[in-house]
Amino acid sequence: MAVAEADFRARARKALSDEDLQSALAKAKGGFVDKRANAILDLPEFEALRERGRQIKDHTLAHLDTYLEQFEGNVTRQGGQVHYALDAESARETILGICRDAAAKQVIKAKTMAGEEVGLNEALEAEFETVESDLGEYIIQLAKEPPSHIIAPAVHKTRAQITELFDHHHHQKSGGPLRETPDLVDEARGVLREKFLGADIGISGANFLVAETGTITLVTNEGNADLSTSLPRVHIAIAGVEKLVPSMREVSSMLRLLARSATGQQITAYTTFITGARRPEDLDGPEELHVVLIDNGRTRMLGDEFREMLRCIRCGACMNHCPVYSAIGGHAYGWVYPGPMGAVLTPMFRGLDSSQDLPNACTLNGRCQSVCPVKIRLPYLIRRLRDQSFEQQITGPFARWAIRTWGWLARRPALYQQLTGLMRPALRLFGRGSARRVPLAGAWTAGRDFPLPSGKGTFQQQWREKRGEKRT
Amino acid sequence: MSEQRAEILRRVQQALGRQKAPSVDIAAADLETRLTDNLPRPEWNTDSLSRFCERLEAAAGSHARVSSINEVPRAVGDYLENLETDGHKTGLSPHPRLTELDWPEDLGIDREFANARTWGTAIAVGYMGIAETGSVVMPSGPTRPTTLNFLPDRHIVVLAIEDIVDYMESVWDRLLAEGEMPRTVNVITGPSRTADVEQTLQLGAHGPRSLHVILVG
Repeated sequence: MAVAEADFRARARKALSDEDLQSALAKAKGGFVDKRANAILDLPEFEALRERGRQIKDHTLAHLDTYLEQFEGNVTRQGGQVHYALDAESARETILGICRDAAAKQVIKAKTMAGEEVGLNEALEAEFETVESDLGEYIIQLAKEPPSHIIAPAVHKTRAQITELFDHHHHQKSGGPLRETPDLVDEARGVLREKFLGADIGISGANFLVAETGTITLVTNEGNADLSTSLPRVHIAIAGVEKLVPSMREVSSMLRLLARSATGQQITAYTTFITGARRPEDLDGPEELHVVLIDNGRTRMLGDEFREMLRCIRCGACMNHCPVYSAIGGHAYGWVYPGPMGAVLTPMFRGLDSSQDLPNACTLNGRCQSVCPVKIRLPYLIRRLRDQSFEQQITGPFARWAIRTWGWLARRPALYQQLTGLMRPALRLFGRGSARRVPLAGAWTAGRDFPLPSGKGTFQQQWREKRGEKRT
Repeated sequence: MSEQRAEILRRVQQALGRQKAPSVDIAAADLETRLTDNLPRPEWNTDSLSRFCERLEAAAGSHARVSSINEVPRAVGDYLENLETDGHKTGLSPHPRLTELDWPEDLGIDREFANARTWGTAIAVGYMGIAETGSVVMPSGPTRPTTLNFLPDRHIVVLAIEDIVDYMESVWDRLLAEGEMPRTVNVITGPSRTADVEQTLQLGAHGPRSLHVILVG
């Protein structure tokens, strides 16, 4: 992935003034949130289901060695092969090696975030004709951009931009009239159908891996993953080691959570369970199945306080409900995982020193945690990353001084109350309600008004008074 | 490669503070103690067949009902009558329940799986149906090739009403009781769709543009 994590602020500022992006984000925002809310209204058991999802994933992570061995044994028994990759480079090398061994020319890809994570496309494109088959991924492949959302990779693109891309790449023209959605979808269907039929290798991710049977689970609405994994003679699936679940019973529960949280569906149009390679009596299906399991930082998380982040099932609900993501889109986050889950995963996978702004691009409002299907405490993890950033002296000297001063003051309640008591009348000089400009707060007032004290006394004084009222 | 395997397992076990993986039985026992609630699943007030039909329609699928398998060719004719097939052929999945039927000449049925890539419509036999979601279950095998579920524009699935179960879990119970998992199980709920262009739902992305279930029984 060429995009550098650094300079989040510059990208965020640019995103805020990008009219096309803002128009695309405005269209997407309500859709995801409303669809999920409606799906959950239909399922009173959803809270119990979230708890079950958490229990299943926690259990699996606590027995990851057992399930890895069981999964591998079953895949092998069914004629597939399991490969292990410690890092991005060895994942790419493993996959390139399989493609070379198969004397492949054309590769068709179904959407895989693990593939994005290891920079698979760039490596493949250098040697093979490589085409993304998920419509959103295909659009951004033509645009030479990374995905901006983990389940809707082209959510930042307007119809006008897609029209332009298709006109340019399919018809070598530009400046044509705006095209309707059915027309665009149909054209992509035609172009990609040829690619499906011509490909030697199909590459997919995995939504879940089932240890009990050695099964790869894939969910799509387009059917692209199914064509990618049934037409070519070799199927390669790439997935993080944390994708395991114990059995087919548990994967059924997880699928109920995933579809509702991601797209507000009860189930996706295609939910596919792949176990091993083509059987002797089968009339179709790939002769070879390879599963590439990647670590790339996951086993480190397993051993520390960030283990719960490995429960993540990549539904995207956290970003759909994040005010920061909704304002700046996914690209500003600088790497493949955006939004709240990205604010945790990017520092985990790429290092906090190059992504220290991400945990700070969060208001700690907690919506992400309240919608997370596996109850990951995202705000807590983000706060812990802020702590680490401070402890490791990644936070800048001025901010460190300010935080330390505040910390010193906060531990001395009498002094703290005295000082805030003095601040109140001082701020009152600027008026009531809110002020456009306040000295020393230029960074704040550049984008929004500064709220001024209201009511009688400081917050603490008002709080004491209110509690007093309640008691009597 | 096996070095990386050993290293990943070593790191996993280091993180979990042990040198040997617990047995599958020990793991299974731990899971049972952790799961606090009864299996949380959607519930409904109607019978399974009504729920199946309602969910299938909600997923933009259609259905018809016949009382015996012998009426399937007529139901297929009725369905295709008003559709624009562009001269593309209708093909049969090589399933005995279909191939043994009496197909009228004018339907121009193709029984040669090798021609499947040119078919406009494919007819297949569903293994089971799931009432919870209105899904048809298509395990791969010699009588149910996977690619037939995805290549044609129109997908017709013949499903015995007695094979409709309430939940997905019952499918796994039956499949695993019969033997191993097949190479692929496709759980299909309505036709192919995408919302990748400005979040507008569009049917017929890469797979079938329509899904029609003929219920038998």
